[in-house]
Amino acid sequence: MKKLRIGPNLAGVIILAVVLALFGAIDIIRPFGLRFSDLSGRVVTIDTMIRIGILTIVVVGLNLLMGYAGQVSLGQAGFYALGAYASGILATLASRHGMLVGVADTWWWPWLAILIGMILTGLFAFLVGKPILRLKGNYLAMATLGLGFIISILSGQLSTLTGGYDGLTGIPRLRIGEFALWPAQRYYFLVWGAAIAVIVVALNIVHSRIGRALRAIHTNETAANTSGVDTEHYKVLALVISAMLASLAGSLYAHFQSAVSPSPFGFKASVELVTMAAVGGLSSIWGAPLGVAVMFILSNLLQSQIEAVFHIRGGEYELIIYGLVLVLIMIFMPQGAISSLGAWRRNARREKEGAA
Amino acid sequence: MTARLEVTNLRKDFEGLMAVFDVSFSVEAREIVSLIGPNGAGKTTIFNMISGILPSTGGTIQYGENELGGLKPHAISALGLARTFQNLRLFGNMTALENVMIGRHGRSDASVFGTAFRLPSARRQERAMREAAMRQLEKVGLAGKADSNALSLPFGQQRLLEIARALATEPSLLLLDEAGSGLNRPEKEELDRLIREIRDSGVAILLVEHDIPFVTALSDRIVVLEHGMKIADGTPAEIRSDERVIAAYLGEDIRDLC
Amino acid sequence: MHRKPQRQPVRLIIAALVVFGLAALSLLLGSQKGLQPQHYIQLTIDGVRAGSIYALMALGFVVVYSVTGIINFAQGEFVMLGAMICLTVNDLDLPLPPALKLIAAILAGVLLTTLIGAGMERLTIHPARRSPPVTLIIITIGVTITLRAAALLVWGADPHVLPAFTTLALEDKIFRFGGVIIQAQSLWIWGALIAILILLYFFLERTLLGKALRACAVNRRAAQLVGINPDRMALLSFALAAALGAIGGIVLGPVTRPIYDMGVMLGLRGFVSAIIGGLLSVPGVVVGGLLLGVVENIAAGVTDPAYKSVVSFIILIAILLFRPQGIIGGGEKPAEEA
Repeated sequence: MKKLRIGPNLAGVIILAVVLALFGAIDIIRPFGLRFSDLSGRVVTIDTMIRIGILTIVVVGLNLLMGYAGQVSLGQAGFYALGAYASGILATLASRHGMLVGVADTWWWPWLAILIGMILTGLFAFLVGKPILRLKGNYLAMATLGLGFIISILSGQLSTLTGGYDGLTGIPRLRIGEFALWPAQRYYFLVWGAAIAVIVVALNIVHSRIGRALRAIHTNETAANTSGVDTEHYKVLALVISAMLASLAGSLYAHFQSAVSPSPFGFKASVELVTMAAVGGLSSIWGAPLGVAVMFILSNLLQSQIEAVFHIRGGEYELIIYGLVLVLIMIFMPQGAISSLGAWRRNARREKEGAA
Repeated sequence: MTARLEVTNLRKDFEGLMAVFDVSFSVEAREIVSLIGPNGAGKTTIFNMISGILPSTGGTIQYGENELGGLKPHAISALGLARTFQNLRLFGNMTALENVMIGRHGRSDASVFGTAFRLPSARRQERAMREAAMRQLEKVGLAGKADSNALSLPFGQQRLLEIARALATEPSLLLLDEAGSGLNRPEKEELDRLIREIRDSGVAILLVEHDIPFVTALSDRIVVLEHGMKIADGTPAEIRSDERVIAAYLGEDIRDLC
Repeated sequence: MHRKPQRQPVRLIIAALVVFGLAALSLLLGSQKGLQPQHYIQLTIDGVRAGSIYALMALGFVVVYSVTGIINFAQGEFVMLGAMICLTVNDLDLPLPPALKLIAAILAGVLLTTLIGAGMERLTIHPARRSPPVTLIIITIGVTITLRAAALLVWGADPHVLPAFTTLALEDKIFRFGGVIIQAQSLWIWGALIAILILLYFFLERTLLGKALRACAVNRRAAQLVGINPDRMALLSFALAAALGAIGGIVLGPVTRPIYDMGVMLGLRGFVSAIIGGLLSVPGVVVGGLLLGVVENIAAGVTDPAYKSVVSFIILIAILLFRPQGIIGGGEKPAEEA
């Protein structure tokens, strides 16, 4: 019984890791002069894959919070921004402000900054989580949305710290000693290594007393509470974990772009994250990478098509696809595409058992 | 651990509407006590206050050494009080076994860190929780349904599953809110046997019930409520001959019912 | 519910202290920027103008929320669509005198937006009407970003202009009182708000349809029992909200430059106004809108205009946390909290 439960997940992790390693290897070895992007006719590049990996980390956190604990967050991009800015600010202390010279310019300092960012973001989530998670439904949605907006506006306004709307540039690449995790082919391995680790950790949490407690809160908070689950504690815990994961992803994003600015972390980003989570299935950790990949590639394709057809460049046209997909999923499969497929499979199996 | 529940002058008003007014009663260790009364008498409201779901507006609820007023439901559960709900509140997205394992939640302490990295202690605890939950399922006769979805069970078994979940918290006092409603005759007899068995294992029981014959057969003592006030408190025999109780059940002669 | 009555005076005193403190703080900040009394009057008047638009939007939120229990995030997009459709029709080469053309454009803006609102309800809300509130709010967010991106495709990323109603030109007539300036368009905005409140009053109090809508807001099931179709009332509420939003956008058009992404921020302010007023009471949310407009404008005036929206979000979170039943509406608890 227990073997059965762990089995498919472990197998899934191994398959995912091997496939992704092969993808990465193609770009490094270049067999027959092939690049990874040639596999998909240049639609999916290593760059795309890195972005998908980074967002996967955020969406796994959102799954824990929305799908398992049932607490909606429309401000998740705010936590993502906190991580990006923590790394952006701390990693450029020496170069921008001449502070902590000798410490802030070592190879290990940015790694420490990532950790500090996660801790600070987690602490922030803990402090706001206690009061905000007393709210339910619509009110929680609007409060988290407001929180996301405040972070995004402040990141543009506190310009001495954040570089204002132009943002911060010159964020160093990550290194281990002398070994730089760059060019992108190398960074790809770091990002997906982290993403897979996050998936494993999330799967472990989900299949433990903590995951059970979160699911219980989702279905019936009162019953969970009288059955001995400290519901307030676990709701805050889910928010803190999701915020720390978003912060980790933000840091990885900052070192990938080598720059941060407020624009990718606004309301739009929060809605996109929710859409990605919904596509993959809110209560499905495995849905996270899939939902991110589907939405990311779909919207990239749409963007290029619109640019080709309408002869216009730039702009947020891809929001059309996010909006439509979000509406359709929420109407027809609120459990998400993956979970709905799973439910069909289970139903089919049950019918078969019934017949036998 | 067995303790005495002592409810004193308990009150609840919903914005001026007195739902419960100065109700006092007690439940001794290993006793079966029933709260009865017409609809709207305040029985479920009292349950909600004892289990910490609703704050009271006056009075005290003492359990052993502890005052329960102001405690959160999970803290009350940790002190050894467990309850079931009139309208079942099972976790529909889980199996029967997982539902009962939620009851074990407060009796284990594996941390996020431990579970995230599957440390040996966390895995050991998980195994122990599973085994303990399984034992509770066996006790209510649902061991064969461990892996069925909770809501796929027939209604009577869902009632039993809720009792198993409550028992998994290792209570010394079990509050059953209309545990018999919706059950047929054989299921009720089964429930009667189960309640006695639970009592014999050292757990006190407080029942809210509509079925008077069922209550009088089972209870050591009965507390009768009407319009939020206590009108009688005594053994089934005393209650049966109480004038006020007879008046409260006007139209349905209580002597016929019993 | 668990609040003890004797704590009410304490709360009032705290509230008074907060208001007093904030007023003192803004005077202090203002004096550092060298603001004169007439500047404050100007800020207040402009705030009342912005607040009137927020009030119109808040009415849209109330109409939809009280009938369906849904917070319709797309309310701000109705404002955008009203303004955009109106200015597009006004720019058409129609053989009409400018004044008539503007009237035709206004009617077109209101009618088309109303149709879009009704269509939104039928296509996206109706099929999912039994879903939990969070699912429904996410649906309205999906509609919001779809409308916004569609508007970007149709109208492009540049701001547009709508002529002032009085002069029918870009330059508006201006009234001066000492150092204080009032644009003629402000009078149109206030007039629109007052006219709508009167019409809404007659509609809700005197017409059968309006009474049915109110009955549905009070108790959906009971309304159904007396033969009111709640599905039709939901449709009506979205159409009405869209019309209110469109009117707000059209009268606002000449004082801002309508742009495809104006909806989200406006919509959020409309929501904050609605929540100040308790989400269920018409007078409450109108006062809420005016109050938000004034507070926001003064706060921005004494600090930095960029902090304008931060103010409303801080108010939003503070109210949700401390007084989810609203400041003005009072007493009434939203259904989901009970």
